[in-house]
Amino acid sequence: MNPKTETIILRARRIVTMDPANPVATHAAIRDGRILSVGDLDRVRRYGDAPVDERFADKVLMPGLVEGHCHVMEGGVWAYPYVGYYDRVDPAGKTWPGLRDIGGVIERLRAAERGLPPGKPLLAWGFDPIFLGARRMNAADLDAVSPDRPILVMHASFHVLNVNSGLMARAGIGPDTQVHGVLRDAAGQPTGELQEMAAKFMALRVAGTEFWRAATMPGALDRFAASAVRAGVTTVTDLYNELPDETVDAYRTATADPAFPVRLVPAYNPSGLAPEQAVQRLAELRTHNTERLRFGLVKLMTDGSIQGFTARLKWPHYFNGRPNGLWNLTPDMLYSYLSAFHRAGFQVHTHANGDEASEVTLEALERVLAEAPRFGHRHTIQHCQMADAAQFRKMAELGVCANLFSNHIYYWGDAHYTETMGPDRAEAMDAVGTALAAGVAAAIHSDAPITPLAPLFTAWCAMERRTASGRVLGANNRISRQQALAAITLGAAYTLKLDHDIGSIQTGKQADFAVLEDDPTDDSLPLKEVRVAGTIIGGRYHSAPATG
Amino acid sequence: MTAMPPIGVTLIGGFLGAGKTTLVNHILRHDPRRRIGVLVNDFGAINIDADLIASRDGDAIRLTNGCLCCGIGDSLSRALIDMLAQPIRPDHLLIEASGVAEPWRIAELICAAPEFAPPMTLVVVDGSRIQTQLADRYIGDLALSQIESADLLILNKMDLVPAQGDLIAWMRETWLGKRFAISEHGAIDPELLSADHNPSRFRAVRAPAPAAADRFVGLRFVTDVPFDAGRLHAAMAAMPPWILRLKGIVTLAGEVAPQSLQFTPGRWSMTTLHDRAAPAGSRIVAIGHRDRADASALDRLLTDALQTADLQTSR
Repeated sequence: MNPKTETIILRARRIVTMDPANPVATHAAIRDGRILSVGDLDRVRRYGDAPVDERFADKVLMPGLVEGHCHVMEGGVWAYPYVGYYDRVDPAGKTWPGLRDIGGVIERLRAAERGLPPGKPLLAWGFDPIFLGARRMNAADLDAVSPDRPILVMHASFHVLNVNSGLMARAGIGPDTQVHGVLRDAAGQPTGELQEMAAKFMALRVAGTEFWRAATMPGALDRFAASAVRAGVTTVTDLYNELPDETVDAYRTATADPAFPVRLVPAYNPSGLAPEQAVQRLAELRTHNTERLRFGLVKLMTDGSIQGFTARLKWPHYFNGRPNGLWNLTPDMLYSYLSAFHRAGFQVHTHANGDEASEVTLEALERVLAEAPRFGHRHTIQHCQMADAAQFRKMAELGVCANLFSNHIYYWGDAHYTETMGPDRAEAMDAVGTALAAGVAAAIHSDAPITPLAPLFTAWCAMERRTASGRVLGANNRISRQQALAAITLGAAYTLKLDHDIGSIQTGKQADFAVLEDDPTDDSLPLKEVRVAGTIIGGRYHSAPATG
Repeated sequence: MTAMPPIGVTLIGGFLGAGKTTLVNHILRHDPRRRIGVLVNDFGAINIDADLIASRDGDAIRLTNGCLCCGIGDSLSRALIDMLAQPIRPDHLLIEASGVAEPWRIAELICAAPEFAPPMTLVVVDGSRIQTQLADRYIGDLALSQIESADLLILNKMDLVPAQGDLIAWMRETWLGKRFAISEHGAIDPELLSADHNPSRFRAVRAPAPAAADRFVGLRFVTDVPFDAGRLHAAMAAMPPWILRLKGIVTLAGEVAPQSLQFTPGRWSMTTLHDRAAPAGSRIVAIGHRDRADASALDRLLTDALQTADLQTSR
């Protein structure tokens, strides 16, 4: 590196450094894409005089936010119109107002339909019937958009979809179809709502397989990155990907461009290979690492999702009596993969939603750590939504981190209270307060595109624990503003083993900032209302598109 | 959609280590009559014996019979669609399901495509481990679900079982009416795959094609709440006439050993299964006339027979 590289001084209204030894500043000197000095103007000038960038003089800077659990699919879904219940902002900054009735959904689909060439299927996503009252959307509703062109509307859960008559005719779905998951009306006619894998398969093979490919389609990575900029995020994960060569090439090409505004941390899905070969594959991938693209995480799946009733719960199981969920890996397979990656020195992230899944994960971790003790492994349980104090204490003992799904409290908290977990366990879910008190290193996440990519909103969820209906779910598990901000910066960086490089504003670290209009430490302003102007990554500014 | 005869399908389920891959290799080697394609959905590499492989193309293997053997990856739907798009169409498709798969879910997917015949579900069980697996607190329910969904149960690795006769007797008695085959090292007669079979009625799923099959519906009742013996007797006496057959393993309040419940119209029996390692809870399957079936009535009838007539039911 050229030692004479230019130094630039950023002046801000306030810099919230997240470094407890030097918490607040007004100036940061940057050289070679890294932080040289943080403090007031006098201090940062001691390295020599340098031009002062005044663009942020009225902004508040904090460390670039870290989203420890999201998916590139966040960039994929925005190739299609959004028809969900909640307002959602797309990567270009356009607000898609939430649709409060079926009429609104139809109207938006009509507008989208007009722009499509004849015969091309119309796909849309994000529909959520939970909030639309008793009547469910049916094929006749969608036929009002077009009876002939195949129309497919994916629900917010990605588990259920609605189709029109044109699509059903092509797929051969009729009164005689005996396939599980095809919903029927009182007269036995399919309603166009398809609920299970088999029924969805009938529709997807007619509509084309585009939803599967959405994450690797052209533009998806750029939209994903743009979503991150909008949210003040400079480091994103892609937390479960088989990482075939074409994906790896696309990631390498994108991140090699200095104009690409995020650092990307994929987590490898090893299930296509036997443990030893999978370890080898990840070791190879790691040789491609740069400061903008880091391979090395592996992710294992245990159970499914709580709202889908596929998570594995301990006694007393599901509140409404549904049978227990399913395993994606049996406990002994989990152990085999965990053991192989642990022994090879990798960091393992394990998806576990239900408390039986987190228990099985902890048993496997305990066994592996007894057989092959290792310092600083930072193995992490992802979601970890139902872990109780005892499990958190065990995690602290074993040095295991938790990345909790705080957005669930807002989006599904009411359903957890009344249907899935019941009051006691719903109030104890995503217990960031309990985790921190037990000494567990914790982060919080959105799982975008499952919920919107917006760490400041996620932090608000962990602070307030308020559901969409306004119920406070477990007030005693609320965390402080400082703890919430730590969870979306250093906390998340720690679970990615990147806390030495990102997550706070300190000499030597990457010059990654979230550029904010408002001060996140201002107690009078809810964190979800803090406005994001853009991000700075490696010293380079990326302005968020104006939200409109 | 197509004039060609439907592709026969065999689903091969069972836990990792039960011997599914060995069985697939055995069938490929010993069934020269059919062109067999293979989809593999288990963790780890596709372990097809080298002499059965003609060439490799990326992740797919071209078998010496001209068909493909591919991994399912993250989407069985996509794998099936790709398989149907191949120039060489198999006569028969073997789907090696993931060790954690519930085969009936895959069976439903197959039934949704008219190119395929109703699948036969074959579940491979490691005879030396099955009782431990059924009693396991984490995977016991999955082991049970796999066995229940099998049209044909392969008791494999029997060379490792010291008291073979006891195990076979126990399995036959626990799953009355289930077809069994005994094997070592996955060696079974490939004809078992084409023998006339009753596609599983579990969860009421089959292809629209054969008219007769559509007359029946299968229902399932699972609960963790024990039944009250007296109420269950009353429920059996009050079974509606559309039910043709009902059977299951049930737990009665106050009894440790589970009961085997068998019902045909006008007749039913309950026998205690002593010394059984059957998991707690009750599982009942029923088959009935589709046109008269009233699932919620059956659900109510059985729910009312529970010790505490509360929520814990599902079908």
